[in-house]
Amino acid sequence: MRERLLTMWARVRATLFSRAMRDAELEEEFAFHLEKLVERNRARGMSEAEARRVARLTFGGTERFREDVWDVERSRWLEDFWQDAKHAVRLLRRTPAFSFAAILTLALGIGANTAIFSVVDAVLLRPLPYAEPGELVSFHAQYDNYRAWTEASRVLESAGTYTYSLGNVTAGREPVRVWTLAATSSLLPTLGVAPLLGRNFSATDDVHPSPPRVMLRHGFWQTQFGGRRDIVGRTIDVNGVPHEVIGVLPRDFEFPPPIRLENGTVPLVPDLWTGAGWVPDFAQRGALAIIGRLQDGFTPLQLSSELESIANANRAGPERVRVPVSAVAEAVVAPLRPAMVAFTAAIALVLLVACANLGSMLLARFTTRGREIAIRRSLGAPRGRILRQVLAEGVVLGLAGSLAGLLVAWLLLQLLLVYAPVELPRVHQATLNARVLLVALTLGALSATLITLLPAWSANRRDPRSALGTRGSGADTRTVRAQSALVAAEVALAVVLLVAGGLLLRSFVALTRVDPGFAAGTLVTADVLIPSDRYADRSATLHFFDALEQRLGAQPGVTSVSAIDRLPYGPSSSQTGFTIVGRSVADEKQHPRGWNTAARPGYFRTMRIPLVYGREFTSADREDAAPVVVLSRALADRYWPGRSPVGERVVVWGVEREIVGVAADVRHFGPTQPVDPIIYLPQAQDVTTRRMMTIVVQTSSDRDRMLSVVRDEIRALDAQLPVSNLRSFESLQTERTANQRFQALLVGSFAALGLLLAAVGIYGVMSYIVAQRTREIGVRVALGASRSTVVRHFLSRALRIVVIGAVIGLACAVPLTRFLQSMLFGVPLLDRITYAGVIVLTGALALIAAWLPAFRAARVQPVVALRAE
Amino acid sequence: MPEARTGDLIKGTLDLLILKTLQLGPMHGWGITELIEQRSENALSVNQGSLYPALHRLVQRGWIRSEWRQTENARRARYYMLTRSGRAQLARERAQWERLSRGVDLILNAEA
Repeated sequence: MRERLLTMWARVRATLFSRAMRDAELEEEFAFHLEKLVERNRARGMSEAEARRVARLTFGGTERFREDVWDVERSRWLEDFWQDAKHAVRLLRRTPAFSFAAILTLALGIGANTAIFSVVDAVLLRPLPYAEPGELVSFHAQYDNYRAWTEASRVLESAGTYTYSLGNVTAGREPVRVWTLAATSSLLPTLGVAPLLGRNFSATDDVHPSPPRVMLRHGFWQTQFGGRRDIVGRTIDVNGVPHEVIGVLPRDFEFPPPIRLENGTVPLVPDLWTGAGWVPDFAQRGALAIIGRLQDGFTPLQLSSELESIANANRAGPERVRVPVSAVAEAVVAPLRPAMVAFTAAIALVLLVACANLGSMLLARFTTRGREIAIRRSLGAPRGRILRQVLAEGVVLGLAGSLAGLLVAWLLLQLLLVYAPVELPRVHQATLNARVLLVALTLGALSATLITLLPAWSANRRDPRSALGTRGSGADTRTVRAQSALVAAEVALAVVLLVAGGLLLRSFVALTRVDPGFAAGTLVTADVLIPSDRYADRSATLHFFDALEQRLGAQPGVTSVSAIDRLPYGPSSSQTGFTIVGRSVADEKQHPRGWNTAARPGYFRTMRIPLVYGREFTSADREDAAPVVVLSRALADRYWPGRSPVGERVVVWGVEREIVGVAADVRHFGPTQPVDPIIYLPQAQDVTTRRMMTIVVQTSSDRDRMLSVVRDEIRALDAQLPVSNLRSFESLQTERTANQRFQALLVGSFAALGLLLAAVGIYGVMSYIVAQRTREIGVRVALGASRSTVVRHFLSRALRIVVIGAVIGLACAVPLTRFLQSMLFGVPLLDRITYAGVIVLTGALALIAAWLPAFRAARVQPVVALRAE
Repeated sequence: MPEARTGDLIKGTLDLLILKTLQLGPMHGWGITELIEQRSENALSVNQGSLYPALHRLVQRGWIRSEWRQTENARRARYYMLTRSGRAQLARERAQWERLSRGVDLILNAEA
């Protein structure tokens, strides 16, 4: 025993320790030999120098010896491995059904893991397309503060700020409405990005009125201008004014960073960049978004406290200004992390189940080959040799699984990208890159180790004498026990997956059941932007909408038409305070506030938002008519609890208005968000003329036909007017729940896969047990055991494994699913329906899987079974 | 499993000689060469260039193992010793050698 251990240790050492260390040992051994040669030469009467010279001549170059020794080692390992691998392939080819099932299982497991990893890689791990993105921070401030603070800060290296606007571009292939980003000239350098073509803005572009210059987003340049390099220096029309194109942004550059907003969406990536001075009120806009770069070694927290001390330096009074600063990279990935971790964990569990299955199958395989192994052992094959053979089979399977898994990964990735929600930033950059390939191979190696662990251990423990003594087909209790443990583990893993998938699924169902406050029906929407150069005053804008509504209303199939500036599930706007006539408030902060929205007549009817009190806007609520307002129910309930406020008067933006109606609440930011207070003003009586409006058309006819009708009618009225987001409201609703649907779909299908694999495992182990005990069953039946007794015996045996696994699984699911908390909506963590469903589903599938082998056992003919020996 | 070594008599013979020498007890590389020379009355001499790779090969196969020990003169040297499977291998190689040498003898001593 000691000897064997020492030999094994020598092998382990050979693989583990560095060549340098072992070279030193060889050198010492050679030196000893040389010394002995010298001694012998001296004894033969040579002088010391002569003895040494001759010895050296006899001995030769030690370097060459060393190489020879190493060659022995290398060729030995390679040769052995090659032989083992060839042997393994031969054996695997002898059982094609097993090999196919094993490789397929591994390929699915590894492929799915690889595909998920490539998504995680794109979404979470890949750095943002800026230089040193870890140093970038974001915060908000007014323009004057931005100037003063960045000037004074020691922690900030540089900073830039930006804001959004809208523009109509008419130079390209067709008029398009685009989002534009007005940025200070310092923004690009702060991000560490240089334009692909042309140059960045300069300081003159920061001040209003700045020269009309623009930079183009790479994709926009490609689609609208065919990627022509001579675009720089040419002019394009933006809002009817010719602008010089001074640069094109790099290909992978995306700005703003995809930080998830309050409504679950990510910021749009504007197609056009202008100087900050392009926007007349840039310096007056409220809280500007600022991107800063920290000096080496500083943290966002340090910047925050520095800016706060600057901001509060010359402020009187106890109130302190707070300046929260967040790290850009962290802000991007933080909201995505829970889902990504959940996906990775779930699919890793599936691979574990698959490996447990294969481990159990390999174990059975090697047990059946027990006789062969025992004979080889007794003929003197070293134990290590047999271990290596088990391992070789695992490695061949793992490698084949990895390669096939890459194909599976590619297919799955295409599928994933189709279903991935838009809100999952950068997911479409997911590819099978070198990092992903490495993961696939690592998973293959890991799986190979996992599936061979148990068979190797069991082959090693097998005593040649006992194996030879028993019949090859005799029941091997140790193998069965190990297999049962593996299957119980599979059931436990599958149960954890099922609970997670079930919770997410229930969460998604709860989400689709939320009453959004309106009944969308068949609704078609389109965004239009009325350009100020051609529609100078309000009456021109109003006239356009009147005419459009008239034309659309005359179309067959149109039930009603209206427009609003802030469609539910659409963009955000700002909140406005108002006062209630006849009530005084002590503090300005206690003024009622609400999101201000401009609606056109018939809006509530078109959206089917019920009116709780009063009436909605009509065409009589014109500019010169008495000012009116409609409040949302949340506002009315708060300030006029339990009664109708219709007839009361409020002052909004300095205009006293009569409340004419109260509309039901709407979940503007999506079904997961709370209802929010809304102040509806008639578009005709709005303080400013909102130029960005969304047309809503309720139709009883075909949705697709209506989409083209809307486009044609807008074109017919003004061919120059760009239309965007022409779509059915249904698609917008789907988009709002896409995240939850994706999560439920993904984890749900992983859970299904895990359960299926576990069922295969139960089937496998029960079949094995039945096959091993055919003779015993035959004897029992011959002695009068009824068939139902046999079935019951095997079913209860399977059930015991399943119950143990399920109990462990449920016990693990309770703490593990806590990590899902932030992804759940409207479902408690210990959801009774989910847990009950999981138990029923697992039990049912386990019974089916166990029934088939048990049924087969019951049909054993005693004579056949006894003859089988 | 014993491996066939037809056409590689010298290498195979060296393995046999080493295994046989180590049957006498643990020995370092120098000792092995000396013993082989002495016992063969200087008919055989082992080249160091083949001795150490051979020793290494035998260690790899698990037939011998090595250990650093003190020599009688209190020097450190690597000693090699036979393992159990080495003993079995020695018996096998010996049988094979005897068969081979008997065959050669039979041919050489055949009546002309």
